Amino acid sequence: MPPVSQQRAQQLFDLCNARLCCPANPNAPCIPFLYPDDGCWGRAHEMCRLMIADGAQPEKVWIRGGLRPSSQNHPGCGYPGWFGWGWHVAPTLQVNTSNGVKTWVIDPALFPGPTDQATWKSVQGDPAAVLQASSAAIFYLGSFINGFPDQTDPIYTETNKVLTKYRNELKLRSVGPDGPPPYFACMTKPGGVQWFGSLNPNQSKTWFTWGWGAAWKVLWTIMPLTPCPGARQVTWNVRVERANATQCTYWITVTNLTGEPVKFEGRYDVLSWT
Amino acid sequence: MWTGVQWQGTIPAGATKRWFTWGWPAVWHVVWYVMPSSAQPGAPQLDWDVAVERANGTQCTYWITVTNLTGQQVTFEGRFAVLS
Repeated sequence: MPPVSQQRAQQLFDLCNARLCCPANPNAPCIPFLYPDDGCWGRAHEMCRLMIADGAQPEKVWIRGGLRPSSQNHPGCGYPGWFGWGWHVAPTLQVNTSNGVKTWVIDPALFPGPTDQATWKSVQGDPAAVLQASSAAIFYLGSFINGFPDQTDPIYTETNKVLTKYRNELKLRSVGPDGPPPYFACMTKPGGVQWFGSLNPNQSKTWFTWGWGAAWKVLWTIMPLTPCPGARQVTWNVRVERANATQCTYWITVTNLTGEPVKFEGRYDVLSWT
Repeated sequence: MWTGVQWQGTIPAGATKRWFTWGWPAVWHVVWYVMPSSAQPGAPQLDWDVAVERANGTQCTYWITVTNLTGQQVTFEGRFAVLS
């Protein structure tokens, strides 16, 4: 497998990640990266198909062990709320780096970009886990996973079955009580974020936040947390109430422009304290 | 904070048009506003609103809808400020 540049690795990652499913409306041919629970072998085979069609020559890395990954896209966040996996698989590329040619992993379910294989292994929480490389053609490395026969899937029939199953699981979770990912219990509020919120399909809802210095110059913005590429998701407007001589209350109305539930964060920036 | 001009637009009399700009890091706090290039004193010329789409875990796309409140074509700058 000839090595590629880091830029090309990022490009191939982006090619795969652009197929991200909208959680509550996961239509084919999207890839359900936001359902980390299961289905990695289908995602990996589909990503390899995309990369091969783009002229790349990926392989795969398989890992077996008591894997305890964390993900804000699982309601249980990580062990023990989520028991993780007994095995996992993702595509790999050989990448030219300043330290020579390295194996990088393309795994949008775990990382926001290409990552080196050692880091990929380390976040799965089992230092004793075993790795095994394979060609991209192997759909299910049974001989490594559980002693079953290896399988290929040259016309992607089985791949599509796996993707369909886990698109449906993602949708069921996202329209159920847990709502779509990410899950606030798994997240810490960054600086400049006043609150996390959820909106039902096409819902408008108003939040208020009080005790702000009336002399401060404050701007409010909203950022969706639930990825859904292709269309506008939220808009907002801001109103203000003068509560007393020195303080004010902001009222922020956020509107979900989509027919699917959306989670978001409400952000503030103080432009001036006087 | 830093500011910039993302695009220059033209909008016919009384029209509403929408622009989008993609690939913005979702962790940035960005505000959007518009500024008419042509002077026309006496009344507001443009109104706008902003919507946002989360494209993936790290990037977003902003959608800026601009309305020409006047009876004449208006050219304008679409401006942004990255607050943090």
